[in-house]
Amino acid sequence: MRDVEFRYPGTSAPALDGVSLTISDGEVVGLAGPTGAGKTTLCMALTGLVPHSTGGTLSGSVKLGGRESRDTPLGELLSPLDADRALVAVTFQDPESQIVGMTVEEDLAFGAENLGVPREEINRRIDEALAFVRLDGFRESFPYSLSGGQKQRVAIAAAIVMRPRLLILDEPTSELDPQGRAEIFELIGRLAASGEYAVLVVEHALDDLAAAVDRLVILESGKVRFDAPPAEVLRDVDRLVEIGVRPPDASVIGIAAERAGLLPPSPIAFLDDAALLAALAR
Amino acid sequence: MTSAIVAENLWFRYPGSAPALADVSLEIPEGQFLALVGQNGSGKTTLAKHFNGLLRPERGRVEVSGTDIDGRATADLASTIGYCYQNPDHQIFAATVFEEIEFGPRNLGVTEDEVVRRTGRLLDLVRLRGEADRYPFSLGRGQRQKLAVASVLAMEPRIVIVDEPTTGLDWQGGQAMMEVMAELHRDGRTVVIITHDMNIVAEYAERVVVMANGRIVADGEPADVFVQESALREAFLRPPQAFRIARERPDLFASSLTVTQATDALRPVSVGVAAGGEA
Ligand SMILES: Nc1ncnc2c1ncn2[C@@H]1O[C@H](COP(=O)(O)OP(=O)(O)OP(=O)(O)O)[C@@H](O)[C@H]1O
Ligand SMILES: Nc1ncnc2c1ncn2[C@@H]1O[C@H](COP(=O)(O)OP(=O)(O)OP(=O)(O)O)[C@@H](O)[C@H]1O
Ligand SMILES: [Mg+2]
Ligand SMILES: [Mg+2]
Repeated sequence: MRDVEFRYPGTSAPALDGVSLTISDGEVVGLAGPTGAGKTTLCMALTGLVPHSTGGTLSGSVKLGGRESRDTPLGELLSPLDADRALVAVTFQDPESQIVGMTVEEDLAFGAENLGVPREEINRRIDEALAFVRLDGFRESFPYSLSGGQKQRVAIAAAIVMRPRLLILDEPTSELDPQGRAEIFELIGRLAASGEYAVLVVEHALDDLAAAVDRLVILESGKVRFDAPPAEVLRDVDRLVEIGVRPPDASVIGIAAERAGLLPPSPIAFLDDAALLAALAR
Repeated sequence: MTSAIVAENLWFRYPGSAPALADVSLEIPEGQFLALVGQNGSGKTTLAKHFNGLLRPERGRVEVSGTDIDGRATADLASTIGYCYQNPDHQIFAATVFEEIEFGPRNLGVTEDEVVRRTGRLLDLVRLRGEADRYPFSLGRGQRQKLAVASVLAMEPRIVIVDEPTTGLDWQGGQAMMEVMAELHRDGRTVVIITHDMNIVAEYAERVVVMANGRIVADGEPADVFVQESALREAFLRPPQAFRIARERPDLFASSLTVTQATDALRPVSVGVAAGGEA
């Protein structure tokens, strides 16, 4: 994305205001910011839904796998570059709105079927995806009767089954238990380590996000306020609080410990409790 | 002291599934601020829906404010006990934000003046005054969440149960929502929240009840529950970062639960150092 400005139809304030952002193959990027900052809009721009489905005016350039979004019809824009793999797959905030099947299995098969993946391969991927998200026994379940967090995990599994080059997760953990959150981030780590997926994760809270990503982007009012490695971004806890993003406890406590003379001053923030405790033990 | 809610030996099973509640007993004193936590699918929502009769137990009984609710309709209980759904869209039905909030008290036969007063006060409380005439489903998820809470509070129940009050809200929105809960608590009401956010538990709850597989596996003050490792493991829970840090270094952070307590604990050290080491 380069100098992207976007307005929804009938609105005057831009939802994206001069956004430039590059996501390379295999990179894991975290995106945070307060409500209304434009996080979901940015995700939709990366799937072509903005502006192709939403309408509105977009200026600047959005390129997906080399194709210029504005000049390419949506169907062609999202057509796979490699066999068996989607270019982009997204899970949006409300998992219930994304359920398409009568069973979890149907739900998971849907996207991959559309990509023309052979049935056996789909079955294999479904098994793997369900194991990934801790829902092994739920293949035949009716998706609507699952608990909130279980539905969220089904949505994530459905995206993984498409093996996208870019996987976008818009607040994937909002209804997950803490262990489920940790597991999703562990899963993101594994996807990243495979080198085959670029991942964009949207979150309100930085607690688990910070330690899991290569880069952290903070949006406020449609503008990119930070785009840097998390250890740099989290030095600026005061600015984050001002923007309305809660910094991880470890970053805040780390800076307080420096001020108290317990730790030497450093240009790098602590991303989690383990890192801070290790430094304090030294 | 009367109990707000007494649940005795509740059993419940959705058709064709394992028990979602397996012999759950819980007594909640009036005026308590209680957080119900546990892994996805552990039965929190199922339990909460028994408190106001949205679900009825196969076995066991529920008392609300000293009365057995067996045979009493959920609608009749609404002025005593308010329940806010996990998904606000399961609750919202009116054509405008204003009508959504006024429906409950109007239905209870509250006077017209009082209905208008309450609706106005709640619009301010959840900061939706500017959206009063909007179609609820055109609001963002966070705003719909606040609307759902407001429409329950409009009935002024003595007992308020909110299923995941801060889901879909950002940090500031979540804090504002929790301030509303804290205000109800200060006002003497019983507040039960269901949450996955251990920071919120540490900051607001007097008592935390942990569920796993349809049973209660831990129950007590947050600081006491956060050290019960086997129960936490069974429930797939992790205490807040600040607590985990303080637990490893009580010499620096004493028994801090929250980040504010942890940074405050460091302060005397720095003052002590500056003043020549008499901490
Ligand atoms: N369909 C739409 N029509 C008009 N305006 C919209 C539409 N969708 C979003 N907006 C506006 O665009 C801005 C950015 O919204 P967006 O949903 O991208 O924010 P967000 O950062 O994802 O917020 P949240 O954390 O609440 O999900 C907001 O001001 C919002 O009101
Ligand atoms: N309507 C339903 N029909 C069948 N089974 C259900 C239904 N609602 C919930 N369940 C099952 O009952 C169990 C308990 O679900 P419940 O919704 O109470 O969990 P929860 O603790 O609130 O979870 P979450 O944190 O995900 O909201 C789960 O195994 C769930 O799949
Ligand atoms: Mg969003
Ligand atoms: Mg629930």
